[in-house]
Amino acid sequence: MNSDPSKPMVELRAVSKRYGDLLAVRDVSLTVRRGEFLTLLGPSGCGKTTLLRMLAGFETPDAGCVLIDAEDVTALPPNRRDVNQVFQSYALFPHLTVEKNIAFGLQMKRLPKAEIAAKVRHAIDLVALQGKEAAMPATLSGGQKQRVALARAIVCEPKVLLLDEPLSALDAKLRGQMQIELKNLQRTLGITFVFVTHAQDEALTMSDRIAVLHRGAIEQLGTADEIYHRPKTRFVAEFIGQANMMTASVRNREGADALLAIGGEFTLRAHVAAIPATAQSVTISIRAEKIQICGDGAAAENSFAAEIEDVLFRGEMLQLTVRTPDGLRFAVVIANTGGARKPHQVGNRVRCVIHRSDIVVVDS
Amino acid sequence: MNDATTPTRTRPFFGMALVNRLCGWWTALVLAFLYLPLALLIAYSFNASRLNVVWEGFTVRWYREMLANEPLIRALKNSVLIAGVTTILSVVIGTTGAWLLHSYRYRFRRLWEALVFVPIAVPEVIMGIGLLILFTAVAPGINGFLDSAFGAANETRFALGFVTTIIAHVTFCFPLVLVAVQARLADLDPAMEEAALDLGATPLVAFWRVIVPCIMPAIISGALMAFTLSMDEVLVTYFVCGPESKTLPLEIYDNVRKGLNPMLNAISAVFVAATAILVVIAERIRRIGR
Ligand SMILES: Nc1ncnc2c1ncn2[C@@H]1O[C@H](COP(=O)(O)OP(=O)(O)O)[C@@H](O)[C@H]1O
Ligand SMILES: [Mg+2]
Repeated sequence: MNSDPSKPMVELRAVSKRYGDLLAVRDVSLTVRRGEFLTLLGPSGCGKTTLLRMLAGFETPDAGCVLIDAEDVTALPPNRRDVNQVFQSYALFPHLTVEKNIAFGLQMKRLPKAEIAAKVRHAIDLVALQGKEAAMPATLSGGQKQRVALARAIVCEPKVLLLDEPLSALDAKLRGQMQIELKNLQRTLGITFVFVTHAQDEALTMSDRIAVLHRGAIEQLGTADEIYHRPKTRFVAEFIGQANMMTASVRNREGADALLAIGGEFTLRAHVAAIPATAQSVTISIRAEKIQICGDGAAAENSFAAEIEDVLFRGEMLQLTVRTPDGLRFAVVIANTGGARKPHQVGNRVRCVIHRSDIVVVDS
Repeated sequence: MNDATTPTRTRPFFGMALVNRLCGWWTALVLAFLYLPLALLIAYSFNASRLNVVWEGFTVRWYREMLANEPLIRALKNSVLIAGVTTILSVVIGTTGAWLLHSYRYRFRRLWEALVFVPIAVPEVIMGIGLLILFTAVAPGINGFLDSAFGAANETRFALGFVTTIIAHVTFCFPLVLVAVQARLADLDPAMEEAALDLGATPLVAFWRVIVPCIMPAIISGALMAFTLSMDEVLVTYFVCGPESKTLPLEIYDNVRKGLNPMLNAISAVFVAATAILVVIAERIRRIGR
């Protein structure tokens, strides 16, 4: 057994995959740590599934190599990789009971019958499917199928568990619940998870680290906090959450301050350290919920007057569009605490404040 | 619309009722046309008269005669044997063929798929003559090989008989299995095989333990269709079967040429009943599989 804890569990080295004219995965290098919950996040068609299938062994990379637990598995077929997958469609075997579905992988490993029975029992307990052992997959609900698929994969105690949008077929409520259960399960078992999703809330909730994919390449790799608060590229800033993207010219730098001009007269003060030393013009991202709306507060830094142009009721949130006298528009999201008083109405004049550390410079 | 709509409203409904009734009659007529010969055949198989036209009372004499008719029973055994072996071979060839066409991207894939159906589409006489020519052409070669392999004294000869009949039947029976299985495979979740591989099954084990059970309804219904077709086939069989492998339809046909005989009604009635049962079973299984 090769399980040096300092070595990464999964390593992709400059992996590329081409389908005809389409470069589905381009030169991706990525390491996944032992016991880590890593999420591949990106819009549909960005190459998440292709990347996952190369880890599972269903696709062979055209270039680069795949290492699992420091072993080069690039040429190994899926049945000889110590990796299991939870499929988006669950892919439960329709002719086998829940119990036999879960036992399948262990039977393939030719474990003794008693050991299989014990492990299956344990897996069923883990995913809370007691009483469903003899049920056929067709009689289960979506959530139960999901649990069987999960149990069938984890019972094999793989080095890495691959999950391809496993929650996408569930309704919103169940999805939220499964997110928490999945994360707990991963902590309990200590298995390395590579999770694929296009839903940012799933990624942000569960992941230790997130790799944001765009057109087959990794745009940014980092913790949920880093990805959210320090997006490196315009794509990441726009894909996750709601951001105001604008081009600013760097007016002057004095001490720790930099003065950014947007449009004509509108200016914001930012940390000079956040801005590339020689840049004349930068793209900045300001998250919609970081813009505060207050009654007066004229004295605060980066405060400006604006008029509410549009209000969208979003339940716990209000989504506002505000417009400065110079004609700049900002999207603002605030907690909907007003209740029936409705303090924010179209036409109201408000003051907005942007904290300087919430101004993030991204590559454009 | 005014209040006077009530009386006129029945008009279109009356028209529809008429159309419905006409359609009903038409369907009944078509069914009668299809099933009347079979019904008459079965009825007359119990007729005491030697002549089909007059009813002289109920008897099972023709069934007893049929069971005592040795050539007929031998032909029945031949037919069942040939159809049985044909079905097994058709299932193996049809299922693996469908799986290969389904899983791999061949060049000229469409052409291969079309070629499979040629034996069904070609007129049976032509298929029969073609196969006969083939068998006569290869027979000396094969027999030469057998002689050199087992010595000139060996009894095994390649001649028209069971082997040639079965080969001929397989050529037009396996496509039935192939189509049924192919349709089923097209509906199958592609992740099914991948899930098996992912759990450590080799491709062969995945096929046997996961794919085959998933497509089993299609295999069974294809097999029943193949069996029925092999049992019923006359023309191709006429060309390629030898004296000892004469099938039941051929035996019946030979008898008919000697003159209609109530015993033939009896054997035909049995045949119809057996075929009907198989068709119903095949249809049931196909539906369960959905
Ligand atoms: N087998 C294939 N043949 C051709 N193109 C493919 C194949 N699989 C995926 N693609 C293409 O590769 C790109 C990435 O696909 P995929 O990895 O499935 O994206 P994602 O999972 O992020 O939605 C898509 O444009 C898709 O159409
Ligand atoms: Mg996908």
